[in-house]
Amino acid sequence: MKAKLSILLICSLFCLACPKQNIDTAKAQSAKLARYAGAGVYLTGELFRNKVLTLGQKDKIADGFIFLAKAGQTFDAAIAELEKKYDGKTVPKAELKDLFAVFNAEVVAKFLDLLRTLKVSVHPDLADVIEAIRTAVLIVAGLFGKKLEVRQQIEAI
Amino acid sequence: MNEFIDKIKKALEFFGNISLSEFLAKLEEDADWYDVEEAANALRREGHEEAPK
Repeated sequence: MKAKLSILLICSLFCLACPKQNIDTAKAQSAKLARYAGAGVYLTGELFRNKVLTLGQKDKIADGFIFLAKAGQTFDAAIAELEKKYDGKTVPKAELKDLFAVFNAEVVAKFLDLLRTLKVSVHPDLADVIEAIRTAVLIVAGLFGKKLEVRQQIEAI
Repeated sequence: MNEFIDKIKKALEFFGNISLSEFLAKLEEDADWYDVEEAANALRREGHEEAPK
């Protein structure tokens, strides 16, 4: 446990010291999140075609993924803007704070909406996909040192 | 990632009609948020199309 905490602490300090890596990692995590969401859309379709989900449930979940996708696009655009602005140079902490604000307002908020939708219609197997997206959301939040805050928001659903 | 795939694999095995290979391919696909939106929109339309005359 102590060793794990030490590794975590070292990684956290390393991330704080390298804002560029934060941007790259946020970009990579956003892409991973998009892949998981894409898999979620695919699985939702299959569950609907196999009559596990009703038309209404499928529609609600699809709407949730549409909102999440739009949020992801906004987050990616914010990352691209920072990359262009600083072109490999160190990104100031204030800008990273703004990037997290975009992440929180867009991705986290939309993901929470999706979770609310699923609360009424979720199938346990789809829950695994949502768990994977949740983990990816928490990893990005962790990059900004806000993992706990985001986790609390998710758990409050 | 492996744990995630194992969970999904079990879920898909339960529904024999769902292709595991297709699902795993989705996870490896180089998709971005625009692709997700397009796929989700297509999924949203599913089941609402007019029956062919």
